[in-house]
Amino acid sequence: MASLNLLIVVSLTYVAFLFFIAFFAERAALRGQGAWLRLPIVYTLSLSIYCTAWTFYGAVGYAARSGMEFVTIYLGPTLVMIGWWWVLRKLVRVGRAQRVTSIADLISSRFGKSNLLGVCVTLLAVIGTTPYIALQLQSVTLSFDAFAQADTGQSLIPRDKDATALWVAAGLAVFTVIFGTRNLDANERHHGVVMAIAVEAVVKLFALMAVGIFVVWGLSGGVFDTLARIDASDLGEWRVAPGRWAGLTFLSAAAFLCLPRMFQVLVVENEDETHLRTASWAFPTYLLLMSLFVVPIAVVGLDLMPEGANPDLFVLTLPLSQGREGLAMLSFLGGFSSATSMVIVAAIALSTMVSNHVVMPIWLRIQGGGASIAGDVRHVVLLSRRLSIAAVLFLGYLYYRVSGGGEALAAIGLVSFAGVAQVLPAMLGGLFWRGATRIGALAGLTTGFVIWLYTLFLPGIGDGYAMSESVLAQGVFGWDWLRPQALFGISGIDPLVHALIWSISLNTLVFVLGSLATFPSPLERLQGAQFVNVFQHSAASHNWSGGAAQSEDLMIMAQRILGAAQAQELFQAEAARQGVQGYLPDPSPDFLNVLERELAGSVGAATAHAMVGQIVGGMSVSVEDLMAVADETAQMMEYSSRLEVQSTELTRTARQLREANEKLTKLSVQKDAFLSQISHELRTPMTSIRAFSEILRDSDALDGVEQSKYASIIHDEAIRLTRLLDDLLDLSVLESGQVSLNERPGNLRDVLDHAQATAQAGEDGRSVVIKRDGAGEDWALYTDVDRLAQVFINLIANARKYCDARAPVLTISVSQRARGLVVDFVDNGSGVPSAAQDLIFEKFARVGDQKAGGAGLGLAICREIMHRLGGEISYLPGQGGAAFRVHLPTSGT
Amino acid sequence: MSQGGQPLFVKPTTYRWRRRVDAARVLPVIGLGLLIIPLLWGTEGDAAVPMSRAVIYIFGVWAVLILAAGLLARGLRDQAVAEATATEKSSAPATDGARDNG
Repeated sequence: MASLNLLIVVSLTYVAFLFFIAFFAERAALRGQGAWLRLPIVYTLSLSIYCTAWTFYGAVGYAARSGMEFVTIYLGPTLVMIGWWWVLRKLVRVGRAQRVTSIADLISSRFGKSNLLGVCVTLLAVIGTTPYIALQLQSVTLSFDAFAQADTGQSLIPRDKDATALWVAAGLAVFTVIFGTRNLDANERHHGVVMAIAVEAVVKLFALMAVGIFVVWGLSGGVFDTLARIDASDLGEWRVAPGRWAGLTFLSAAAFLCLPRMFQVLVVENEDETHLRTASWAFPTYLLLMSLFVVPIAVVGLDLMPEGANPDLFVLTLPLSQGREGLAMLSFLGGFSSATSMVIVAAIALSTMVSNHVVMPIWLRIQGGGASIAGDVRHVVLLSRRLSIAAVLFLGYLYYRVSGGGEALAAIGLVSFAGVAQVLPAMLGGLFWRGATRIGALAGLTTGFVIWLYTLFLPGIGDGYAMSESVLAQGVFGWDWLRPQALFGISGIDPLVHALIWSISLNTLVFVLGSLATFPSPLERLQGAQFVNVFQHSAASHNWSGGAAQSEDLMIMAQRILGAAQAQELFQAEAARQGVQGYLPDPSPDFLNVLERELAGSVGAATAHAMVGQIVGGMSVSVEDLMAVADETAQMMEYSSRLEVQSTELTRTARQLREANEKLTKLSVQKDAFLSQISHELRTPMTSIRAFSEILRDSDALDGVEQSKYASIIHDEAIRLTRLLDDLLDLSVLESGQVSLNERPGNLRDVLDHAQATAQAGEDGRSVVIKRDGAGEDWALYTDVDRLAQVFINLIANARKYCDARAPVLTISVSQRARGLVVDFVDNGSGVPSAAQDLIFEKFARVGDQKAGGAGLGLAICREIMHRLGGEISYLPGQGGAAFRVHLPTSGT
Repeated sequence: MSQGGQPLFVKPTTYRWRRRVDAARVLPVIGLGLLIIPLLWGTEGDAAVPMSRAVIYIFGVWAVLILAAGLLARGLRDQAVAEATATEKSSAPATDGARDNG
């Protein structure tokens, strides 16, 4: 028979092994060697604390009583895990971005860092978790007892169940205090604890599967025989009530997200978001394997074990009854692992919540003067956590003692689930709905909590212990419609499903209505935006207005909470970033945010906020905060205005391109026209030269007068050709920039006189009256006077050639402008049509079809000359005739 | 309707990424549907479903869901694409959240 003493030795060895693992992991992490600590598989295994002793032993008992219904407890979490993209991804991101320390911290932080909400969630969690811890203690004592009953020899310890429970509770408290409160910053994570849990996860899976394999292949003779045995047993038919099936699946999914211990491993201990991806399939696999052998064990147990044997212990008693002590011991270790890992993590999670949301705020208030007064906050926080752990475990033990163990306790698992599930509406609402408010969350949470207490929790504990029979049967005050298990007169629903439906639905309804009816504070709106849109801006934008803050006070406070070295490092890094010498950075809003986030990792968001607030001076929400709320709107507006600018720019560019294109097209037409023109121009004199030279050559009967006449024609035409070629040459020289300017001093009047004389002297025929502005022309120049005269000559000649007035008058006026001298040449003709205005300065451009000779190079040459001289020539529209403005650069006058 | 300046069409890699995300979102819904089916089973007399068949069905569905989740997890591990998608989103602020004026 199994030796109890051996069991004690094995258990103690196992515990020592766990201590060693935890210690080793802590040390490796401290030395920075713990890459293996951060594997996704460790994260996945740590999630297995979902499978408590209630699962390990209880699932078989559950299956023995209710068939396949037990599996809903695992299907809910499976759906949550494979649907990680919906909720878990966001939850983990928010948890990391906001440095959330617990589920109470998450809710409190989301709803404006409200400590009242934090306290509510903490309370709910403690009430929901304490019976669960008691359940774990019970399972360990029961399993221990099972061995004790089998062993009749002397044992090392007294066979007192209560004493066993106390010893287990004390041992767990020691382990949790040592490894759970080693460091303060929850974001530094508890490597030791997580590693120990991962090992325990492997042990319990291995143990349960070993028992299962033993049952299927050892006792039932294979898979098909087992299936046949199942069908032949009392559990042979599908007998699950639809309401419970759906309700429990939902409940377990909700609990998976809301249980404080699950939140601890899922979010707080999460090392890397990508681990979630692995866990999304690996954890459901774990759950599947854990529940794969439950039905066979239950069926075979019912078959082989004596009538009245507790099915909750089949996993243990079945191998024992078959004389498989080793297997039974392994099974005991599996159950022990399940119980201890749950209790450890739950104690850490609860102690963090209690310490951050209850103890620290009270302590801060008692201290009165704020965080900067004397006293080691770090020490206080650690102490409060340790005391909280002890208190939580003691509460669990107390509950175990008071409830007296037994069947009543076994039912508490689902009751506990339903309790913590009340956080779900506020949590999901907070993550996905920016309109969720603190008042709404508070009202919803309270509603759900009260209904849960009234319909499920109180009727559940003891028979008439907390709620009298009469209340249960007739409702409180004898009001029939308030019967705890038939609210509003709707009876006949399974009590659990009844409580679940009413509590969750009214909770959600009140939460939504409360949120719709109230207006959130600025900080709430800020946090709401950060939570809901966490993927858009993971960086925090909630700002402290830090004008009044004293860096030194902040430093003193931070040292007390973070520890001197870490605080100094933080401050120094920030000072370096700001470019300040030494340890004290300016208390910029950014820095205050970073600091608050760091502190939040140790004492929770609400407390950290309050502490910084005390030093900074209570300006919790600044104008910048409000602007951050409006940030998105601003971003949108900025974005659309940027688009608008871009599109105007595009329109403008397109118009410019269109204009350029039109000009190019016109130029091309002009060029073609000119080519034919120039050919014509060259051809006409060539033709006469050829004709007259042929006459001179071939006819002998020419007298001297005729000969001289023809020869002079040839000569004139040759001159015309030469002039044309000279112009072309001149232009090409000017354009290529090879022209050398002969700059010298001169007077504008002299230049104009010269130009007028030259232009009017040359050709006969049309004449133009030139009006000049005598005194105004007296300006000294320093430029290439000859070239300038060339421009003037061209302009005057043009007026003579093209002015179509009966009595052509050309007015030349000089005026001084800011940029230099301006000489206007305005005639009284019909001017240049606007369509041609931008072309006249192009080469070969000729306006209209006037046969006025010239190849259209004059103005092009003028433009080039003026360009070279540093001035410009332009057409001046709207002067009543053709008007050209010559701009002379300011000379040294 | 290129809302808020988001491109109407995206690169094939981004497109595939988004469809995989869609699949990851749909998977739990499919799972829920499959696991709700047992509610339709008869429980009385001849119509009762044998336990062995129920066990095989539920664990079969479970295994298939795990397999699908595993494949999707493989498909969703391309961090570069994820970041590209994320920046695409953040550069166009008019996403879901922006419509909600909190």
